Amino acid sequence: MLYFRKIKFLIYTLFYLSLPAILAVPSVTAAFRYLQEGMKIPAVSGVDIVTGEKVSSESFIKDDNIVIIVFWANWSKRSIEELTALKEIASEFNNKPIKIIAVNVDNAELSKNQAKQIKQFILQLDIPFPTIIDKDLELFNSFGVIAVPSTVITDSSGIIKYGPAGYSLTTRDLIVDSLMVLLGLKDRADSLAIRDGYTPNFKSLRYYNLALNLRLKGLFKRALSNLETAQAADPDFPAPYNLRGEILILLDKAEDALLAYSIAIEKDSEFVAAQAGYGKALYLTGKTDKAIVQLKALLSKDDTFTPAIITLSKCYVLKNKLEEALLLLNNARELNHKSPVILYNLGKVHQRNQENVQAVQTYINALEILFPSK
Amino acid sequence: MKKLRRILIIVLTILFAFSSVYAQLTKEQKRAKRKASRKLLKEVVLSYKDTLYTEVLSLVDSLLIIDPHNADAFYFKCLALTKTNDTTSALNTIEEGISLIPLSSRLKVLASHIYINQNEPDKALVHLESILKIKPKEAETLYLSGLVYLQKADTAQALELFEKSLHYSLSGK
Repeated sequence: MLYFRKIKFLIYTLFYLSLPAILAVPSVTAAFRYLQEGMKIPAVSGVDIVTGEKVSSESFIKDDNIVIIVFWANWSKRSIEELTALKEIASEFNNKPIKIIAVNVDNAELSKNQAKQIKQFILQLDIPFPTIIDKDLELFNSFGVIAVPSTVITDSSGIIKYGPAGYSLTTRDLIVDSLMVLLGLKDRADSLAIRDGYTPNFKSLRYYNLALNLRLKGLFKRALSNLETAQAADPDFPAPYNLRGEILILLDKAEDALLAYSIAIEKDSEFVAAQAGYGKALYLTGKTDKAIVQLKALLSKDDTFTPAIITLSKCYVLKNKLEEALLLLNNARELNHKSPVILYNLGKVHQRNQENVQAVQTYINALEILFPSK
Repeated sequence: MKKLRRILIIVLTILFAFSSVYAQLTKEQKRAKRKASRKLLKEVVLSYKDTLYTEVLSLVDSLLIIDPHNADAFYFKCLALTKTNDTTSALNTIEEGISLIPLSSRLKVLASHIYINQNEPDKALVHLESILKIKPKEAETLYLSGLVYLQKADTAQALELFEKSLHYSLSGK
């Protein structure tokens, strides 16, 4: 037992001594709830909607390629801009080991006609990289995509290096910048958005992924148990604390969630999802003013993180600042007009504002997404 | 007396043997029937996805011969009839299905959809309220009930139902 403890101590010491070698503070990519830079990317596979060939991120990584995964939707104007930008990037870097997979997340279920339309669309845009359909939005859920488009870039061993949220004027440049660094064509990135991340140990990551699957299935208690194992296996891995906070909120234990989120933020001060979660826990425990400060600070750095937008809008409603709430939610709707959550909250604000006609229409828009006509 | 007892035992043994064989045969028949139904249903779903509605109707009729209480058969038959714009037959089919399988909320929801599209809110409400009696948090049913009240120009009630439907749909997300 003593021998085992000595080995454990040695491993931890070696780990902490090697910490300075890790270049930057780890951060989570704001586009994804459940991923962080430094983690191995979950496997992405499917059938290319144009060629019918099987596509798999694992096989690309096996061949030492840098992999770019982009989640996009037909109805999102910014997605189209991002696809076009990636098409240009693919051409610029065509002799480099870079592979791109576009994952369409239009709907959980696509009819044959809809799939045909997407195929036509891809052919029209002349996209040179494969596009797969995310059946039942499995990848969308397991990656924890917040809004579309969302892009994640890995190095040649499949470790996530960068994940820009949304598509802004600088996204193209950020992607090119990160590729130049990953390809060794540049020593350092020009942008601070690109970071090395914290790579958790295998056991911790495995239990985290198990916990995530259980959380998505609604098996919260079992998820928490797996998270305890993940945390014990690697106490410095921030993601399990964040997920723990999320689950505790779902179990109506917002006070406990506050602690979990604060630990996640302590491990990683740039952890956007944890900061948003902390804000939500503050709101749920009645600390509305603190929640507003927390969330406004977060959104000033990243105004695309819709969970934070939604919580802040709820804070504003509580404070009777309905105009601010409406403005926030309408902006969020621009980022993702197929989000029933955003529409639901927007409808509630209209209802609170006695704008019943708008409330009804907004609710119907949300419900039509959840229950499409047969 | 001993002889009588012996005969009784033999007769009972034979009866038991026959009933076991019969039960086994019935079990085999049921299994075969289930297998055939599943296969047909798979074909129905594929044909529906391929928009081959005439094929769907013919397959469903075969399915209903094997399994006259198959809720999925009534469901897809009704859908195929609506796609071919034969709403009257669609409604007759679905009502027949509901009368045979009264616990199928799926059939009632589909019927309600059609009644709402046909602007017959009261008929839709009958089915929707019967579902909500058993499952008061059924999100899609609450949504459709909201649409019904909207058709009846009761915005307040519609609003309440829509809000409830979204609340139950999105809790945990």
